[in-house]
Amino acid sequence: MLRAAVAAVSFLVAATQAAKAEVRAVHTVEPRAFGYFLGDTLERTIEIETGAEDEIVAASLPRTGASNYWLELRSLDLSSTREGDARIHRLRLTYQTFYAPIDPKKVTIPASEITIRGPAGSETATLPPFTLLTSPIREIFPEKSGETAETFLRPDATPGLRRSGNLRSAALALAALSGALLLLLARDMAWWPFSRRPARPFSRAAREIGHAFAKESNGAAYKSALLALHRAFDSTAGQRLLASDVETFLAAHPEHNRNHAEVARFFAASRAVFFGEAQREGEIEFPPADLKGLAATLARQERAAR
Amino acid sequence: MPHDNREAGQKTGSIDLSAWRSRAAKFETEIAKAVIGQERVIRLLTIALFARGHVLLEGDVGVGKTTLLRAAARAVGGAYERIEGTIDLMPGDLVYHTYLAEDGRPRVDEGPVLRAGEDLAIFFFNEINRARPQVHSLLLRLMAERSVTAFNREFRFPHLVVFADRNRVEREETFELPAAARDRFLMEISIDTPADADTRRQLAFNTRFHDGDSLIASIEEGILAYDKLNDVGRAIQTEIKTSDTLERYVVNLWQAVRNPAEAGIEIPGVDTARLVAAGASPRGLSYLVRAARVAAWLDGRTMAVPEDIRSVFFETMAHRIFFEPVYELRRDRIARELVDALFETVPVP
Repeated sequence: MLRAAVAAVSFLVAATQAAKAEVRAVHTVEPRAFGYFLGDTLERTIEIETGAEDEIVAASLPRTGASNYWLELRSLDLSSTREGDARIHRLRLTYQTFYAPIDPKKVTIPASEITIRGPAGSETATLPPFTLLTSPIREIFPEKSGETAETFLRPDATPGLRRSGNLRSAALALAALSGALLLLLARDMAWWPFSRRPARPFSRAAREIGHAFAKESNGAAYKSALLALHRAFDSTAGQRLLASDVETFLAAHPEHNRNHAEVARFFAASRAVFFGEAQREGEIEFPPADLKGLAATLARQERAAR
Repeated sequence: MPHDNREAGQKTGSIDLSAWRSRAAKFETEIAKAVIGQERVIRLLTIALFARGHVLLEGDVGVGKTTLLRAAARAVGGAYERIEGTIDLMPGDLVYHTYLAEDGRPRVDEGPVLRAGEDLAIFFFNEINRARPQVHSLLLRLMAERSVTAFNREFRFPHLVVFADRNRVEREETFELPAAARDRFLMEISIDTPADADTRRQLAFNTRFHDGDSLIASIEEGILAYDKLNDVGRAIQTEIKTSDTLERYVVNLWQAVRNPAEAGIEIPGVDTARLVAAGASPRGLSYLVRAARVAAWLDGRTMAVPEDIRSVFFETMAHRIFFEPVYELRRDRIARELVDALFETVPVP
């Protein structure tokens, strides 16, 4: 960027009143004055030195947007700082040229005026015009050099490949992290697969008893139903459970404690059937329906307990 | 349960079993007066008496082994003889006694075994492991056949029960009982100091326990008529039923003792596949069933149940199971764990 420090253009404004706003100097820092093509931008910096109390009237500033048919003001920044008894207003103007010249040509950004307001009146500062040399970016008649429309038009710029990889990596990393946390939670809560669900022998026994009586309802079915419940007691207790162990068993498994009487009846009936060889007494003492009921109750309590 | 409570009129032939059951209960309470804190041992001793089996007591010195056996002998009634096992005791010392009489001529009298003749009810062998194997082998016949041959004829002792004790403290100058002799004991009961603090306090401070002789003398004599026990025992064996299921259970237990690994028994620090060398003899098994029947009868049942088997199993079977030498030194602990695991593993019914 060619930095041209243009000498101060001082306007001695015809002062009608001594207390009017005071524009002491206008400095411009101009960009290079040549080598512009259609669509190029240029940035001008203008410093206006005024009296300490003076302000720029915002309404007098150039408007952003199209200035004329070929020039557009893209942006305008205004800042002001105080330096001693003066105030420096710094204007940064960004223009874009849309001039499409046929051959190199000078165009001029016209001068404009800015109103400075002081405590007792206004003053005008003039932004100087700026002349720049703009050039065409293509031949006017490319056919002359043997080019066709196909070769003459530059290929479209390939679209920039924006990387979505970061987002994807982040998503994957977070998913992995969530998975790991879920595993930790599952371990803490003893969810599958960290705790195999405790076996539910009574549920299985209830099912087997149902099957046994569904098939037939004779003595053999009753015996196998008794056996099924015995095996359930065995695996719940972790050892073979005899009738005399019932008290210990119920103390260790308080969830079944309410069925004390029923369990005792079951063991008594089983004893009659298997060791007293009195199947009928056993069945009368503890009918199949009661047996089914006890198995179902125990299964329910077992589900509730674990 | 109809089968549990068929108490009234339980008679077999001329034996009134329910009356005998109350006599057995009285026997137990009487003995418990002299030997406190040993209810289980007393129950086992009662079972042994009605199962007509010999008993070996073992335990520490001074825990009341001898007192218990003397008390039991008094409550059973009948003739009672005892002998102390010593290293120089010979079989002859049991059957005859030689001495020079006052007239200066040599005499031969009957020894302790023969002295009471057929009435001998209890023969008490104290410190049996101090006697030599020769004595043990005489004892073998006495126990198995209840007879000895002496003076060119056979003496029979139909009511005889042998009680023996041994202490497990000393090993010097003792002879381990041969397997055959141990197998002939119905039970080998281990007797420990009572753990209960109150019982211990009583044993130490109650003057009643300081004088063994007066303690024994306070027990009523002959509660169980010794000459009826054989008949009662037979009646119990015929009266108490064992179901097919129970028989299967006992056979399964037997199988599992012989092959613990196959039965899925695991003992920490023990290779169960190489644990059991021999033992659990058929005689032992029949003893087990006999004892279990008596236990069922004492509980007021007419059928034996697995609990009965379990309650007598250790005492009737453990001393018949012989381990591989590498495990023999840890016998006490392993035998207990094996039997516990057995009842936790073998399915019933």
